[in-house]
Amino acid sequence: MANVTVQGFQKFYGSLEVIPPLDLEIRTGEFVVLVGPSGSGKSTLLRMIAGLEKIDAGTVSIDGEDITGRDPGDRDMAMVFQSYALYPHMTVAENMTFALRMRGTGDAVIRERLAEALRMLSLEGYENRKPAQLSGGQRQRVAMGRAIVRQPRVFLFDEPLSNLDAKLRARTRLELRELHDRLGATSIFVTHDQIEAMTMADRIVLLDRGRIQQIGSPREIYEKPRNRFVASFIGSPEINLLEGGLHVDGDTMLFNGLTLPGRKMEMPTGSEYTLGIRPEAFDVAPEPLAGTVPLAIRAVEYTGSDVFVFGTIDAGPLTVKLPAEGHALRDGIGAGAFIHVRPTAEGWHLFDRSGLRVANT
Amino acid sequence: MTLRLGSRILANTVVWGYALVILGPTLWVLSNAFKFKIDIITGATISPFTWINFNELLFSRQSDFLANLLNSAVIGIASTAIVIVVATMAAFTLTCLDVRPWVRWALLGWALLFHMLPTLTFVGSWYLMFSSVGLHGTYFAVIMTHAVHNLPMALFLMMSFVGALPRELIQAARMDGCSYGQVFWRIAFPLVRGGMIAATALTFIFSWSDFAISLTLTSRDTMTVPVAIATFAQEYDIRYGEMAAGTLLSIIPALLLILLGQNFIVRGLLAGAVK
Amino acid sequence: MISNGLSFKERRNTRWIAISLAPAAALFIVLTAFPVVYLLVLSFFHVEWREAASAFSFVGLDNYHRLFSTEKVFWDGVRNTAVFAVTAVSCQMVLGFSMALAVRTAGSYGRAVLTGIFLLPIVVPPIVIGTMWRLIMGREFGLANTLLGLLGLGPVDWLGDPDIALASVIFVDIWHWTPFVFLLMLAGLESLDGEVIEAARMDTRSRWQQIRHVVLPMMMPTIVVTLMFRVILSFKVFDEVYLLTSGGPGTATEVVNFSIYRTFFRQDQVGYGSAMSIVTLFAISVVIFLARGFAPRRAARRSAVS
Repeated sequence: MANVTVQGFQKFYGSLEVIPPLDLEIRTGEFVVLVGPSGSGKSTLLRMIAGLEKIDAGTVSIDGEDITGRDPGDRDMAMVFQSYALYPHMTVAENMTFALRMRGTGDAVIRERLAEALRMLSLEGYENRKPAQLSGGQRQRVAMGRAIVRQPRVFLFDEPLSNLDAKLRARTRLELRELHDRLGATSIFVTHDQIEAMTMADRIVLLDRGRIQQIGSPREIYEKPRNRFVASFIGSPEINLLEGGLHVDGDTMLFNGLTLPGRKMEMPTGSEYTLGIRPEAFDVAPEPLAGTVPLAIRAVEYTGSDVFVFGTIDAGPLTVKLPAEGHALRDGIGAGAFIHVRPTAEGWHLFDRSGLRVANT
Repeated sequence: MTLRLGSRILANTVVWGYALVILGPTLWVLSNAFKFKIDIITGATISPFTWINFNELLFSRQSDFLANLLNSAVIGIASTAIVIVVATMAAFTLTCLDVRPWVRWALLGWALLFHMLPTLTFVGSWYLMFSSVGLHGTYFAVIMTHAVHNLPMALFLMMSFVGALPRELIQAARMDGCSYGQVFWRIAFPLVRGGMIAATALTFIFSWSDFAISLTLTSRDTMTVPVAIATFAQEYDIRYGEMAAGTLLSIIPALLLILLGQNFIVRGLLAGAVK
Repeated sequence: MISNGLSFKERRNTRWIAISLAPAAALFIVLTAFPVVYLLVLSFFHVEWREAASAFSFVGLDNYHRLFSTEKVFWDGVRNTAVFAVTAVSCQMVLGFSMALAVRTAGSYGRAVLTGIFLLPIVVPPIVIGTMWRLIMGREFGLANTLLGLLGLGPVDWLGDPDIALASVIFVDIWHWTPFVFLLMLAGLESLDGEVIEAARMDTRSRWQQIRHVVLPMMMPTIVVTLMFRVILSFKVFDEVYLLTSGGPGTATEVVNFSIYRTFFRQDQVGYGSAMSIVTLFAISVVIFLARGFAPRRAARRSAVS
């Protein structure tokens, strides 16, 4: 059992408000990822929960028990740091058992938990090495081991994968999620990497400038972004955002001359909307079809599995993603050529002037 | 290529020329330690070798130099021990922990200011203070003043070493359940031992070299080496040989420091200027 | 139990902060802050020594009045100290920087040995430097005059001639501290971004342009810090002067610190010496504060780069 409740968290640096009043509820067994650009306050928020940063207002509690004023060491939370923060003068075993020894846990328990963690992380045989004698991936596992042996109520992760190379990072991502499921722990994971957020999270908390922009499952966040910021932060290549006016012509909705298929909405027409379309949400044809507009191709990028087409329609610049294999347009597209595109029925989003998603879209 | 070689030769001529200007006079003076007085006075370049000056200096009845060496060592070791303990603890707290800003500001600001003010403006006051409580001329007075005098440098130096510890390491220890004191003893202290050795060496050298404080606060019984050397030079009939011998003995710690720890000397000397 | 542990640990943490800072604070308060206050108080008194006991009589601002009206030696000392600081430090900076630049661009042989030799004057007790040069500059058996003699030139009274003495003392200080400036400058030059220097080599047409437009501006922070540091430290000069000339002949090499020392310890004018100390402390503090005023600008520029 470990429900973490954050209520009215606030943080100032001088008179600068870095975390405006913020509430957050994390349920037992959940894997929650705090994601956002740098300076979004995600690390600060994590450290406030950990007790490492002073909280200027608000409370944090576990299972209803207020732990706001409690020492970081007395919260029953363990943290894995970005730099791993292994104690360089201690061996792997000493690093991993340090917290238990500080608590005065019995030797037998310590030995047992150490052995179990070493086995779980395939670190057997390394227990007498110093951190300097380990590879980056091994250090990362020791850092995790240090958290695991404590069997804490909550795991806190502060970008623990960002110092690994790309291959190892992908593998560790999986292992870490498996570990979480096996331990049934509550985890709060901070990252700036949207792939990590999407692949690992039960729920994503997307932050910008200290404010929660959206909380939801990866799917919700991707498919129903609550505002422009969320839409553009998640997804690669970035979502196409076109500024313009909306008007209704009989049964069709038109956005700067682009037909928006599928849904018809009751809303005031006007000129102050933003249309968002993911690069993969286009029907593409070599010849004009109903509702298509011509796209003048500026450049084409081939990545192996996909082809990215960069071009312009009347409404503005556009990126379109095509599968590399088995597509009619595979050959014959290149800078200077034209293709014809239209948004798919479910693939577009409309944001109003303040950046909020328009209801029902 | 020839141009590069030419400029290389020029550069080396200049710096090694300067090195010679440092070394030449030094060796000339020190060589007097092994000459008879008559050879020193006549300026003989090649002269018989002798240990007599050292004998006179260390073991003759009129000379207290052995006691002076001992005094310098006692004062140096004691004041250095105090400085290192005090500076390391304060440096850790000021660098790694949440201290009220005004406390930080006051301590560091005052340390910096004191570090730069002429020592001579303080010795008069110290003299009167210690005299009025009957401590003038005691080891205690010299040790404590040497300690406070070298504290700013040691503090800044230790802050640079402690500041080099990753912040996350301290936070990890806090998460693992350490109190501030435990973070210091179990994490910070073992990791800045190298820095402490550097600071110890430098602090000792400064205490050993000090003249102004020792001149005004020591008595005959606690007189240190630099004061003794100055006394030689002030006598009517200067004993050049013994003076040179004393000088030679007094620079041994400095020579050891150069041989063992070149790297941190400049860093220590500039501590306080950069902070 | 947990709530107990909480307050216990918190109390322990607060106590640790107090315990770890108290000794440093105590040393500073008792042995540096209190002495300044004491000096200030003493400066309003006339103190007389009668058989190892002191008699205080309050004289108000008399000591200051005397210092600013009839005093001559102290102000000669101020002038000499200023001349000393400006001349010695500028020579050290130019010499030290040029040598560092030469070594940096052309490379040198035996760096470790060279560094060792250059460190020698810095770590040796200053009194030893004084002793050395007193022997070398001695009128009768000094090395300097022996060498001059070999060239057929007459003996010079380096430390006894009022026209030469200050120059001799300045020379010794330059000899003493140029290596320090050199080592700092060399460290500074070596920490410059190598790629920027390579870019400068591509963009400039002469070594001089490179130094003038790229190296010098990039070195400015180091130069400014070293310069201020040396100037402020040269106000501390005492040991060498004590041994070389004791301020003489006349007031030719009088420096502020020596005036204070003499007034306090040789003339037993405690009140008057305190007034001198207070004026000196105040003046140098002002200089330091003005110098620190440059610091924020420097920091801002550095952060703009990184």
